[in-house]
Amino acid sequence: MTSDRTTERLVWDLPLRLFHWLLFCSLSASWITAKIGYDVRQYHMWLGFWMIGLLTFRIVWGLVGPRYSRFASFFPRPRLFIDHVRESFRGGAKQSVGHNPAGGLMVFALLILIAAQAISGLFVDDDIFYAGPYASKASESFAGIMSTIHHNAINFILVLVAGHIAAVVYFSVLRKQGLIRAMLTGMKSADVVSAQEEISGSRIWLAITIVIVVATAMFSLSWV
Amino acid sequence: MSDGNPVRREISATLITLSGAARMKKSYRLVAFLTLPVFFGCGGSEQTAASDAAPTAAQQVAAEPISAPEIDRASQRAAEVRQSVLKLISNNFGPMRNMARKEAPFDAPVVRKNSLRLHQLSLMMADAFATDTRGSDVVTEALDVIWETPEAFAGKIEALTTAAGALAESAASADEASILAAVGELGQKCGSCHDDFRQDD
Repeated sequence: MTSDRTTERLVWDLPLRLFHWLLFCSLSASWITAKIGYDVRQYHMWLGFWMIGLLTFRIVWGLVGPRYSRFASFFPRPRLFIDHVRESFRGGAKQSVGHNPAGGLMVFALLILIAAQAISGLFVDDDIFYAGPYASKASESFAGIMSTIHHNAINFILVLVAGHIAAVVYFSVLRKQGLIRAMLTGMKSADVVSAQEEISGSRIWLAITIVIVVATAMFSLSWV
Repeated sequence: MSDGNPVRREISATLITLSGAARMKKSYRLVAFLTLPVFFGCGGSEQTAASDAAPTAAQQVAAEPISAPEIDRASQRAAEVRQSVLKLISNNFGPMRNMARKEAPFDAPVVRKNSLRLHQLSLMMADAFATDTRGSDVVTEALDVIWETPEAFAGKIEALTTAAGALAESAASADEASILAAVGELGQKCGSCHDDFRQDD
């Protein structure tokens, strides 16, 4: 049914969907390990390194990936955002093919905050056993600022994630736009996506190449 | 190394300016530092006045409750003492942590010496935290829950003492692996207490 090309068209490429759900799982796991504390701190750090790799892939994919994965396709534009919100309250916002203007803003905010969260962690030292790879290389005041960011940005991330989930559930359940299903299958209805708007494929080989390059670069930093 | 790089210094200076929290903390420290001698000066003269003549009953009744600056002075002092104990613990644990992380060669005499010190320092912890500084305006990472659940906190101290004792005992042997395992065990006691009783900065 999902492969019925006449009623459904591909919008979200496979690498983007994998990134999305891997980021969701990794972020959840790293939040939980942070809450558990010292005993699982090693896993928390590994999750952070892994997520920096994920985000690096996403940044490259935002430049060279298929249409709706590109940052240019959902770069926040205040005019569009205001129009979208106004129409949404009237109940008649046009369904977007990729991210809607509010969703695009959310994606940018989440990516930036999660990146800040992960990178600041590289400078944190727990004064006991575990220290980020750059904790002892930065000046004390800089490491202190990074530590403050690391212990506070998560609260903003949690608020945004709650808003993101609430919006997606609202559009999926009450407005029947099937956004969650679209992020799983990549498909949206042909009523929303015209034949010209559909992406031609997932560029899997390009994605694999990027993953290899990013992974090589990450391992060469020898954080682990 | 980092201080030699003007660009990096510039960046961190900008970030400090941008970060209101860091600035406030700094200014707090500055104010505390500048006013400390004043407080000590007052304390000295008060003490002399008090010891000159025993207060009469009437004077005692009329005596005002302890004034706010005096409470703050006691809290400030208490915070300094407990932070000093923890700094010494950190200082003595540091070399062993580096050994356990294979960042420094194993050095049995250092482990023996430092583990005995840690054992002693752990015995000072209860006294160091005896003064309840809840509600005072001292800059501290000590959470209120320390004084809200004293039994739980005492349990953490006991675990630390036990682990430090076990390490000191282990350090008397020549078994490097088991000594380093005991270092890890001791670090775990530090971490599990920080999880519950120390604020993340």
